[in-house]
Order: sequence, then C-alpha cells, then structure tokens
Amino acid sequence: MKKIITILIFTIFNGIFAQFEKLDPIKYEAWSVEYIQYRLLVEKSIKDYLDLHPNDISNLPLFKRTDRIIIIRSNLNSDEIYQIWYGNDINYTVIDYERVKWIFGRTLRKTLVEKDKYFYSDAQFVFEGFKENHRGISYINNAYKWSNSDVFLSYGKIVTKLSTFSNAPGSSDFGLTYSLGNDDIGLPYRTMGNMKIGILNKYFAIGLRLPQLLTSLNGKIVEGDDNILNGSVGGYGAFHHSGINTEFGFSSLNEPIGNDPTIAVGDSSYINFINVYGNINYSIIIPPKVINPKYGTVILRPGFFYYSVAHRDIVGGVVNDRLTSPNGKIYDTPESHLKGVSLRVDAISRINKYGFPRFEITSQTLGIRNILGKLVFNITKSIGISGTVNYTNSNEIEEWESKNSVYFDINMKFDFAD
Amino acid sequence: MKFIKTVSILILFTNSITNAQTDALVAWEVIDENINQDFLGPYLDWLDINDKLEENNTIQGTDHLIVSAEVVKGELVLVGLAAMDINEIPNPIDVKEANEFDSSLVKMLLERKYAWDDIDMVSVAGSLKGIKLPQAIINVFQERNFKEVRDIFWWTYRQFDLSSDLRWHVRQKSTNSGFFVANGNEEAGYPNSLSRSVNIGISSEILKQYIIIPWEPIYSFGEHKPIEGAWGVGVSFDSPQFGANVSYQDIELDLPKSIISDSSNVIYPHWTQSLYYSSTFRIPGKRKLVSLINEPGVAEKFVRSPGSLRVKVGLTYQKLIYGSFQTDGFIVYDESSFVEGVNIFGRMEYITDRVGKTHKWKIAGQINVGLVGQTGVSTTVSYNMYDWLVFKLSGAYKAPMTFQDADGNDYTWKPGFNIIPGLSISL
Repeated sequence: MKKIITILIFTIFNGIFAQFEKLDPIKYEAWSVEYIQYRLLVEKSIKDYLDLHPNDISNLPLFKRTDRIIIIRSNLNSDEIYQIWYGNDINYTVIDYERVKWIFGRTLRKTLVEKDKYFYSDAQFVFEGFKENHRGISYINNAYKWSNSDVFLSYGKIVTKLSTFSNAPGSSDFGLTYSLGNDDIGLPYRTMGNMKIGILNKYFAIGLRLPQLLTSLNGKIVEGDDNILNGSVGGYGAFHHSGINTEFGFSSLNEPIGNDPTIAVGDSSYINFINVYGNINYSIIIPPKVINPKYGTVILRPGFFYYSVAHRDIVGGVVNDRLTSPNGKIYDTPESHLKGVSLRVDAISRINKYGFPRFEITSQTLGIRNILGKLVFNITKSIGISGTVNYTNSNEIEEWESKNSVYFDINMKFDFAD
Repeated sequence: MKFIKTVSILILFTNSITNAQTDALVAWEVIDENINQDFLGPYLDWLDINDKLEENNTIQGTDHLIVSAEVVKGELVLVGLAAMDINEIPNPIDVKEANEFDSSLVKMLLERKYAWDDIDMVSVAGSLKGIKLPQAIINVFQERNFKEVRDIFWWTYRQFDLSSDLRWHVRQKSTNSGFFVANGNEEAGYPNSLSRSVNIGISSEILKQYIIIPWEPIYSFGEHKPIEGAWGVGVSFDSPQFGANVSYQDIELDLPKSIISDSSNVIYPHWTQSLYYSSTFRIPGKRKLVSLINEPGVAEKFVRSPGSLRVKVGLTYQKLIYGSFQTDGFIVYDESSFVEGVNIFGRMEYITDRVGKTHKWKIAGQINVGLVGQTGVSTTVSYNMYDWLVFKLSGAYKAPMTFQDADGNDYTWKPGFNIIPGLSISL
C-alpha cells in the first residue's frame, strides 16, 4: 500500500513539474505582461479557446483576474512567442509554441512579443527554477504597499480592491485605501496625527492627508504620552516599481474641510504637524541560498527618509510660526527637519498550504534615533493579530515625539470568488 | 398561485443568466494557407459540380476564410462563414451549403487547431453584413490603437519627440523607460508658457518622476502673466482607466530663484494634486467610393480617417500662494482656499489611425472649471507634415483670480492667454 502511495505521489509530482522545462536565460527572454488591456485580451483568448474546446479545461484552466502572464521569447526567433505561462506564484499553466498559435491570434501574438511597446515587468524567476521564495516575495511586497486579499481590514490600514464593488475589467488592479500614520518614517498609527485616504494599485498610491477621525489610541504610549503630532490637510503620492519604493506627502493648516479636532480654532499654543515628508528605499531579496524558503523569506530595504515638523500656534484664529518649544527650547526655524538613512527588514515565515504565513515580522531603524518593530501572528488566512513597538533612542525627546510606545491591532482579510 | 408565478420568474431569470453565461460566439480569420486551400479547393469543386459556381464566382481558392462559431446549448456550431479576398472584401458562404458540402471539413475549421487571426472589426466588419459576429467589448486592433493615443499624449510612440515648445521625450526601447522635459502643469490648466516652471524627469509606461525647476518660457505670443515656478518634485501615474498626479513646490527652498518675473507679486502653486478617470473610444472614419485613374471600377477611400479618442474626467486641487520677496525672505500675503483650489477638468485626446509610422492629426483640448475662479481652456493641434516633422499650434486661457495683499487690498492676478506655434521632430 505504502509503495503504491509513493509511486502515485511520485507520478503526480512528475506530471506537475514535467511541463516546466528548464529554460536557459542565454537562449530565452521572459517578462510578465502588466498592461491591463493586453492582459484582458489574453484572458479573452483563453476563454474563447475553452468555448471551442470545453474538454481542454483540465489542461487549460480558466484564467483568473489575479493571474500573472509570462511571455517567453526565444532569442533565435524573436518575432514569435515560444511559450506563454499563466497562473499565480506556485501554479503556472504552460502553453507551448504550437498551442500558442491555436489559442492566440496572430496580431495579439505580435503585440505581446513586442515588449518594448507596453508595460511589462521582469520574470527572471522562470530561469531560476520553480521556487517557493517567489511566493514569499510577492506576499511581502503586496503586504507592504498593496494587498494580498480583496479586502484588508485593520485599525491602522484598510485596502479594498475595486473588484469588491465591480466586475469591470481591471477592477482587481485598483483599490481604495485608508491608513493611519506612516511606519516608514517611524510614526505609526496616531502618532503622525494624519490619516491617508486614497486610490492605489500595485505600483502607485495617491490621495489626501487629513486629520485622523479616530482619536482613540490602540495601545499605550509609555513615555511622552502627550507628544502626538497634530493633523493637517494635504496630499501624498507613492510609487513602487523595479524594487524602488518611494512616498512623499505635504500638508498645511487652515483648511476649511476640517482641522484636527485637537486644535482649538481660536487659540492653540503648541501645534506640531508634518508639513513635508518623503522616503525612498530599495528592495534587496535575501537569496534562498542564505535563507532556505522552507523557513521563510526576507527582504531588506535600505533607503533614506526625511520629514519636516512645522511648529505653529494660533492666536485669535490666525496661524503663526513658532520658534519656542513648551520646555523653552529655541528653534532656529519654525520647522524642524529630520533626515537620514533607514533600514527596514520584512520577513515572513514559510507560506503554508493554506496560502498564508503564520508570522510576519518587520523591523526598522531610522538612523540610530528611531527603532520600530512589528510582529503579526496570522491565526487563519482571514484573521491575525499584530503588535508594534516604537522606540526613540535619544535622551532629548522633542515635543512631538514619544519615547516608548506599543500598539495592538487585528488584521482581517477577505477574498471573494474570481 | 403567487408563489408559482414567483418561482417561474426566478427559474426563467436564472435560466436566462445561465444561458447568457454558457453560450458564446467566437469569430476569427484563418491565416493558415493550407487550411484555407484544404477547405476552399474542394468547396469550389463542389460548387462546380452542383452548378453553383457562377453565383459564387467571387470566391477564390487563395482567399482567407472568416469563421464565426457559436456554442449553443453546449454544442459548437458554425453560424457564419466568408471568404475574404486580397483586398479584404469578404464574400459570404452559405452556412447550410458549407455543412452540406463536408461536415468533417467544417469540424476541422471549428476546432481551430491552426494559425488564425482576430478580425479587424473596423476594416472588415462593415462588409460582413448577414454574418453573425461577436460584439466584442475588447479587440486587439482597437486596443493597439487605444494604446497609441495614450502613448502619444503620455510620452511618445516614437523614440524621440523633440518639440520647440519644450516638450521633449526620449524613450529608450531597451529599458522601456525614458527622459522627459515638459513646460507647465497641464492638468491644473497652466500648460506651456502659462507656467514659469519646467518638469524634468524619468518616464516609463505608467510613471513619471520629476523635479520642477523655475523656467523662463522660450517664446510665446499673447497677453499673459504666468504662474511663477518654484523648485519642487512630482510624481504622475497613468493607466488606461485611472491617472493621477501629485507635485510639491516650495519657493523658499534655498535654490536659484532669479527668474521670478515680479518679486513683489509672486503667485506660485505650493502643491498640486489631480486624479482622473479615463476611457478611450473608437471614432469611425467616413468612406467614399472613388473612381480609379489607371484601373477600371471604383474603390473605397477614407474621406475622414478613423481614429481613437481618449477622454479624461477628473479633479484637480491646487494650493496657490500669493506673496512677495522682501529683504528677510518670502512673505505670504494670501493663499487659495480649498474651494478656490478645486477644479473639475475634462480633457480629450484624439489621434487619427497610424498610417505607416505616422499619425496624421493629433488634437487635444481641455477645460478646467473652478468652483470659484481658476477656470481655463487649452488646446493643441498637431499635423504631421512628414514622417519626422510635425507642425503644432497650442493655445491656453486662464481666468483672473483675486488675492488680498499685505494691506488687505485686492490684487487681481490675470494669467491671460497664450498662443504658441511650434515644430516637433519625431524619430
């Protein structure tokens, strides 16, 4: 019996991996189609072919909106597609050269093979063999600035893909977002004074910075509990492409759509808000040789950060620049500028058979002044709990920053049928 | 009774949805010459034997077949067939006759295990009357054209696009990224010389990252007092559905600012944000029958070229600062309120279909409607004189806006209008 099971397992595995021929990067080129409209054309072609050949569904599963499409071109015949792969990070269906001609029309094949004319991203992993690491990398990157689920819901961040509301083509590529604070500049949750509301996709985010509506603190500021930044009204923009992640934002006071409720409109003595911030980092993936994907995936993000804290007071409803702090410190300018190098490490445990990692760990240092650590424990694929610790490594705590603080959150994730 | 009625309606509704989901209509052009000949050769012989060749004398053995197939209740059936000649004129083949002729050959056609191509609905579908064709929402020919209109106005469809009004794009094919220079802030309604700033940066298919530099427009005609430029940064994003832009400028940055036109009345955009939804449409051309000079008969010619029209509708917010440079730095007198800063904008971008390497006409028009002030219009018309040389004419107008100066008096800023003729080299 044991022997039969072993043979069966071996046969199944052999069958699955037989289709993934080892490709030589010298002979072939591979990229992933990112231009939405061309992705839809590929989806339509696969659907049409399945309409003509319904019995082929076992060899050619239906295309899911979240599937990646990989084009493989032979350098010996650069006018034709050698293979098309589609699927997610662990399961790809390979359409070989002959069937590519049956499934995709000539004009679409010609369009897809001209990669310099549309939006694509690298798919080098097809040359590296089929590694679990890629699934982990996608998970970490999506969790950082996009979402691994149709809906991600927590106290500090909400992402809802437009596919939740609409079946329109491309709706799973865009989402709406709400977030509190900004971990990247060491100001998580309420400490930044702002919330962000915007539109985003895998590559960009843009929206408004507004004073936060939620005034309750999801944790405890151990030291410096009055030192929370005020809210202001402004905007932000971010992009993530080719391993580079950057974000910048700006804001000011005196907007009629709602100042921070903590600021008295008539007179307010010590107002501090982030009027400009920015950060940029580059993703370095720790190779599987160093950390075996069986245990997890790690991404390092070295970069730079900058933010400016504007010091103001309001007298008789008029906003004025301020050069003194409550403890008598004299500022050179009404804005304090903080900048320096940053290092962020994102790590997850191995993605289990249910499609989620049990642990997600983030640690970050901004110069040597600010240290942030975050641990997420995923109880199931849909629910997890997190704890965040933020520490300012200085004996001189500024009027807007806390020394030690800890926050707790619940993460909920929902996926709807494709 | 009521219950039975409700259930019946529900069943009917469910059934209609199920049918709508399972039934499918697919059409294509057979481009495998062997398949075309394998079918048409014997079919012409069959027509000859059955004395039907004369009434089908337009069908040739070298034609390409157009096949339309439908899944009806789980079964694949032929619902349309035509033979298309070298001039892309399709001649319908009777489906009933085709089935009578050889059902195994029809089956071979329907299986589509050969090279084929999509049908260009614009050039062919009009001549395929009487043949059941899918009303495809998405078609590769159309999408290629739509991509071109997006490329042309986002960056360039070519490799180099260098315009005398300072709109430069160099697109590097090997990395699919580029370098660009652009004068002004188009979405906010300050294009070209209505702004004394220039954006210089890196562009790609979806993103532009740039720095903003104060700049003196090279040339322009009209009566205008442009918005001042200040050093800053910006990011723009564009996709077929959504686009956005965010930029920040600070006139107090300790960088060269000697090109301020009027240091006692400085108006500059402190930050700008825009978000838009876009959709692209096909604009059909108009054909006319014309006599041929050297050949007998008539031929069809476009009297109005078909093209693609992209429409963007969105919101822009721009925070304008009014102040002046004094000995102790920049003094802010007034700034636009949220209501004054908000604009609704509509923009259309149109190109005629590419012939060879050239899109003959490129037209863009934009209107910004402010809730209070900041209303403006702008347009650009480009005509390709040669493959590589384009003549363009741009114009823009922005309505006046009132600020309060240091003494509380009104200062009316009149951005005015400009007209800029230009030449562009596209390679």
